[in-house]
Amino acid sequence: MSKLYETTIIVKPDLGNDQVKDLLISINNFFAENSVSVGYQEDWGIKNLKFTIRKYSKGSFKFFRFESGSDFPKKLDIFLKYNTDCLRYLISKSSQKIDEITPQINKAN
Amino acid sequence: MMKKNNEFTQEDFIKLDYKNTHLLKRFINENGKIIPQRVLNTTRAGQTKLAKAIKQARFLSLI
Repeated sequence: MSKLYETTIIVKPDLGNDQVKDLLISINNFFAENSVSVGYQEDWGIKNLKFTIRKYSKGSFKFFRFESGSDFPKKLDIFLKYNTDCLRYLISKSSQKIDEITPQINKAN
Repeated sequence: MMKKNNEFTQEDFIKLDYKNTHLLKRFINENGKIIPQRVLNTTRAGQTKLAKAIKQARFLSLI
């Protein structure tokens, strides 16, 4: 049985355009390998962090919402844990609709 | 009766989420601590959902 999940990823802010593209491609490939389609994707831009994470005071936020079985979030957790460009991530169950716009997209931090 | 600034409504309960930081900031004090249930006058379910949302937002360094 598939459920709706969402993940927010904080990426290093000093990556070049090509590196960010490569990271997003690698994440999308990982979804495709496990035959999970990304339902909704957002880029919140670079935000000031309230405390430093690995000596970074800013972070680039990416948001994904997807529908999958219960084993895929565990695989995604391992994938993001060993990704060096990813500072921090949160995977959680989603109670919203798959294509609902988040409040972060139209708000300056 | 005067309406409190940090009153917790039914509408807030539905909107409550770690991404909605503008809403969450109403329920923390200036030190960043969660305002207790007896002050907010929330239900047990409301306060649990609120605490979870605030802790997830803190983890992602949003508030």
